[in-house]
Amino acid sequence: MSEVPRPLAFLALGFAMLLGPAVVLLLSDGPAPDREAMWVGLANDVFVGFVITSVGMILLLMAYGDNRDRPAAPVFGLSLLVVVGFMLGLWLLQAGDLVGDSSSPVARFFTELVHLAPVGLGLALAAPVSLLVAALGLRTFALDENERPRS
Amino acid sequence: MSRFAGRVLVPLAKVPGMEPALTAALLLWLPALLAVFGCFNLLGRGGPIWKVLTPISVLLVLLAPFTVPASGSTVAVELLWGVVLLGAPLLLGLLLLVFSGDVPVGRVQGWGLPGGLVLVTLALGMLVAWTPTFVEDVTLWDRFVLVLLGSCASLCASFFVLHRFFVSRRRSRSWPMLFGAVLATALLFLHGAEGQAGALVVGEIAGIFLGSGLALLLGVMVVWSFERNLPEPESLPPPSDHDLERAAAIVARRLHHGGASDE
Repeated sequence: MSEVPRPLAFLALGFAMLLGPAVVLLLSDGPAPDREAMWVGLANDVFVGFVITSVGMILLLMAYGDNRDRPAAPVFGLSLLVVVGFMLGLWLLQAGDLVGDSSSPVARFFTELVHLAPVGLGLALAAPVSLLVAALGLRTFALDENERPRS
Repeated sequence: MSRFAGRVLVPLAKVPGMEPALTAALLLWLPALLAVFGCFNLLGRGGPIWKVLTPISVLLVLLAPFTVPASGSTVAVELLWGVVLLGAPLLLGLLLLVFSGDVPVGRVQGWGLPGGLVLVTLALGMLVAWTPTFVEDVTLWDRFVLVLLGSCASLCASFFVLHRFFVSRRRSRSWPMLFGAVLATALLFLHGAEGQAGALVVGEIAGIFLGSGLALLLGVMVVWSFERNLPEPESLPPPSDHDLERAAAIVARRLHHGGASDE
């Protein structure tokens, strides 16, 4: 099979990544969502995504610091993440009504966390399902003999 | 109060003298945190305590609709139940399909292929036609299905392109990935998206990826800064005569008997 030019291959990869969101947007009907509500929602999602991943990164940095004999790594990482998280939260508070009027920031955070449960659970199930679908093709060690390895 | 708790387990729904928020913190959020931390420990070099604590934490999270007063948190756990009921046959069916074919290790018996097909078909049917009635907020389930199918379409299509254009010796093995992408897209059309749900879901995914990406970037920067400052490794002394004799003995043994004699 003739080689596809690398830029074209990367373009195809980009389109493939956007296939799901594009189809979901295509299927949406009705009026477009309120722009301000979308912005507030996006700000909330960015903040929750940052906090959850930061917790995971701290755990990973603790393991890293232990394995590589770098005890300061988790402390440094925690400080950096807290500072950036504080600045991010401050910016989002000024940019949009992140916290809302009637609830505490912690309550609002947990509400948003629950609100994002379908997205988190959907992504968490989609990853192993897609890997298993790929494994249906890759389950043998056999290679295409008529194709030459690139390296 | 949760619909489950109201009908089935009323006595458990209220712990005397405990605030609802404290109940939720102790019986849901703390076990959820411990479950995540326990999974990390079980995957790594965690102590034996996590082998006990992690399943108990997972069980407490799953039982939250019975034990915690109704709130948004318990609705999320109800959704988790729906995901488990859908995900278990889907993942088990795919595993059976993978290990019922031409696999070098772990091949299942003849019933693996039909069993896997039945389970996957059942799960796909549930995905399109089933809405769990025990999930109080139906929109949560609809959003979950949209995210699952959309993500599967994107991931399978990406895997296909990767193997088609970037891994030359695995090209002929990429067709199941294309089939997965087409199937997920078709199921997405069959399921449909109500009103603005699609746009909101895409916005949520974009927000999560932005926030997570920023945190990941910072974590990588920390590791990079520490790795960059590592000293040069000390040069090893040349091998002694004893080392060379030992290496020669190992090579000679393997030339005569293969690697099996070392095991």
